[in-house]
Amino acid sequence: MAARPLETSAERRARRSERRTERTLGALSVLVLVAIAAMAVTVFIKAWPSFSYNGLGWFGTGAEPSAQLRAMHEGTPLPGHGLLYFTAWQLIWGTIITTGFAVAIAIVVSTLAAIFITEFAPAAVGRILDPVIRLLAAVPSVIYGLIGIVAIAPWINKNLISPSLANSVSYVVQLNGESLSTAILLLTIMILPIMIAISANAFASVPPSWREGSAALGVNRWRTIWRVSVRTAWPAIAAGTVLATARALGEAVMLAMVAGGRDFAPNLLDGLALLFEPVRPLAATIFQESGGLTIGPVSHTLYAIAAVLLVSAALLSFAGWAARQPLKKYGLS
Amino acid sequence: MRSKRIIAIAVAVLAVMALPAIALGRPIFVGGSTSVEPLAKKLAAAYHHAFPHRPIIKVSGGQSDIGISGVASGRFDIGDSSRDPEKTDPAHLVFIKIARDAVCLVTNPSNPLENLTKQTVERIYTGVYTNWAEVPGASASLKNSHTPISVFDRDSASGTQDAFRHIFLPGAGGEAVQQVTPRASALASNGQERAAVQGTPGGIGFVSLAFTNGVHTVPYEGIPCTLHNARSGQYRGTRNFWMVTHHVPKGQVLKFLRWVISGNATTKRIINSDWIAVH
Amino acid sequence: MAVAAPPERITPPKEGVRTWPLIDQAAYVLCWVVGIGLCVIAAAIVLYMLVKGISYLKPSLFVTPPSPSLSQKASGGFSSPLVGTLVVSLIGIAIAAPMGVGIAAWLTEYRRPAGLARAVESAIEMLAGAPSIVLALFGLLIFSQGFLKFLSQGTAEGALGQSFLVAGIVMSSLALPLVVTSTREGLLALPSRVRESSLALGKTRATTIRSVLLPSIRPNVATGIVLGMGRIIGDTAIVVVLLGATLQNEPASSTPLLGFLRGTGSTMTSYVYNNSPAGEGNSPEKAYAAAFVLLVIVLILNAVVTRLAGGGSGFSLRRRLGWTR
Repeated sequence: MAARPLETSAERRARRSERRTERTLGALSVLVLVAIAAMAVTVFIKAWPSFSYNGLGWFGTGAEPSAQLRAMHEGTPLPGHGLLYFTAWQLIWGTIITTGFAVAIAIVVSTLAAIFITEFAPAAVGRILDPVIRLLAAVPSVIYGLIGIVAIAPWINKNLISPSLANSVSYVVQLNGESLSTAILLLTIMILPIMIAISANAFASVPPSWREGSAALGVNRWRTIWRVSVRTAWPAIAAGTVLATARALGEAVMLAMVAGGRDFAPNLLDGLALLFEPVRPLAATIFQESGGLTIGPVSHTLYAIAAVLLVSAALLSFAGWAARQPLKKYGLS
Repeated sequence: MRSKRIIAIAVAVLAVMALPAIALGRPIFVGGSTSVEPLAKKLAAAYHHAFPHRPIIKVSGGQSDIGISGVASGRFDIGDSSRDPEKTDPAHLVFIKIARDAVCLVTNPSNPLENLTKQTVERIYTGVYTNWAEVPGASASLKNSHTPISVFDRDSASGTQDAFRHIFLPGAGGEAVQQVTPRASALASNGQERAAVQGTPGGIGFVSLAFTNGVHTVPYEGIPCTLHNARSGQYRGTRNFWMVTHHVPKGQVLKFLRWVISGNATTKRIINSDWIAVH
Repeated sequence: MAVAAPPERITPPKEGVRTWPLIDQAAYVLCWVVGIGLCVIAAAIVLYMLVKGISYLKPSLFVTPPSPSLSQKASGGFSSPLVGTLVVSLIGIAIAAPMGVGIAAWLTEYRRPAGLARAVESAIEMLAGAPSIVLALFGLLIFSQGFLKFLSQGTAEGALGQSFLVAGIVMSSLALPLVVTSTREGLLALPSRVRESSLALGKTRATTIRSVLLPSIRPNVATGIVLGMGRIIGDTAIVVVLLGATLQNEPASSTPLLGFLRGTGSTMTSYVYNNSPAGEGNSPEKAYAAAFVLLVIVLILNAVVTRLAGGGSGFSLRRRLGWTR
């Protein structure tokens, strides 16, 4: 008959400390989970009055957001509406157009750059590119904003915005260097490093035998990379895109400095002038208006914008997870 | 265990340090108008120099409306305002005048206008004129290149914007002021307004007198915008600076405000450097 | 008997880019353009900040605090913001590092219950993707409740909610995902025999983690910490909302350390922002100088990360290539 061996006191101590540690670390993790959940819940609770007052019209057009915020500051509602009246379409469109252009350009540029790094770059150039990309990733956003506002925007103002171009839309908006173009340029540079890193890693992880097979068939290097590596690794490119989009959505300070700050929905029909029209993305709006958080309606509105950003971040997070699933098939993740 | 002892000692030290926490007293929070802000900061520094044992005074900006709503809600002890009290302001506010200030029209240094008449200013700001070619007296290069006018305004929490509208864009009939063109860019402080005009060749804006270096100050109706002219009353674009409290000021706040309006040598020197003394 | 001469070596014809179809040649050139373009952009940024920064940088700026003035000459230096950056990043990392390592250890070594572990993972990912301005808003909401006024200062309506302590706590949530990811990567890369042999010797899992696993992944933990510090140092939104962005560091009371931590202040990022044309714009020269110093600090941190990662768990791409042309 096998009796259970008696536990020595040392073993009992060890078991208890083991459980204690597991509980402590587990509690720590749960604490973080609870804090993050609490953050989401609190933001939504504070945002609810703004959403419930405006309904779906919150996302639509109406008066200009700055006029609406002005009314909240002054305490005198716009005629026909209450203090919580807010229509964010100009801000949403500004965010979509800025992020959209930046991510679109970044996908193309980062794929080419990743191909260059993994395939065409000589060893010396490759050694330089590593720190270069790390540098671009490490520069704080306020420095990008500074360069934009003191160097790039005035240059664009002087050289690219001709008076005739400005006059063509002057009845509705003033053109300035601080506009969509500067915002897109800087935002692209900011999100490139993330995408390049992920894409390059994915390309490099494609099984060498596949590329060797392609070369054995006589396909040149470009076609090999394009048809084999890029095709295989496009889930990684998608995952990188998702991460980059999340970064672009959350960028507040740099865009507050260079995007123009006027809540204007750039009109695609304006032609070239579109690039030089001011925009006001959502995160930049929160940052710029954060001084008014003590005023009730303003704080509800700002939290509503924050809620929209949080939901987008969560959706992107989920999309990123979904995009990474195919990678597991090839063992690349 | 050694680490436990170290932790115990550290906690004890922190506890001892936390004891005399109320030694200096809670600071006085002053905030609001970005026009009053430089004056308030100088006064706060001089007050601390003169009375080092009294609570520190912390000054921030945010524009006049933020100052007024902040003092009503308790966020600030003293609110700075560069606009006069309005009917829509919260109740139980005490406005204390501390100085007067001039509001100047400014243009880019490449566009040294010699004069702006009332009519021209109204037409520029209400959007009737959209191009420098239409403005009499504009620089030749701007006229020839048909540069559009970049109108810079302040956002509506600003007291300077309020003063500007009342002084330069008075309304007729039942309206108090005329409406500024919606094209204008609304900026959030004097500093930003000055920087914007400085950086835009076709720009025009308005700032408090203390913020006019780096841009061209335009005479209004023939009178240059200088401290001398503002003091003598010749330049008509002047407005009041107020410090606002919720109910009658008491305690340390009262002491500070008494010092500010006492007209002593220090305050007189500070105020007269860029503003107009009223006490 | 004579040995036959070795057969002639047949070298395959060398593949040249010129033999490719035109479109592929264009793509090749484009790739080169992009690669060199990236280097040019990075060089331009560094050189521009170098030129502008050095021209306005003076040693006195490091030790003079900023003073309120409308003229560039009298507006002081950036000693207070420099101290502010240091303090905020130290507080942030002091909170994030132990928490991050602990959470990573729990996620890799224990993971019970599994659903909870997945939830924690998703939460950390969400935290990584959350915009810092949203975190700042949330922090302001929480810390302006009256019962938390020991962390900042009391006002008539509760607490001010702005102080070094508050900013540091919220900043730690910026660094947390980076520490967790780095540590997890390191722990996952350790072969299971290390754990098994330690357990076979009779050690508990807790002791194993503490004495065996963590010491061997020190480079990963260090990388995560430095990456987190970099992220904290570069953030502006949280500073502006939660630190008060006052010109000088203004202690809440005269208590030596605690008063300072409970007081408001500024960091290099908010200093650059406030002095640029987007802020008050009174001293663009100071903005350049401060931005240059900030960039140097970040580059040094970057170099430290490179040294620590040593190309192992960092993203040295060349090493992973099995097939180089």
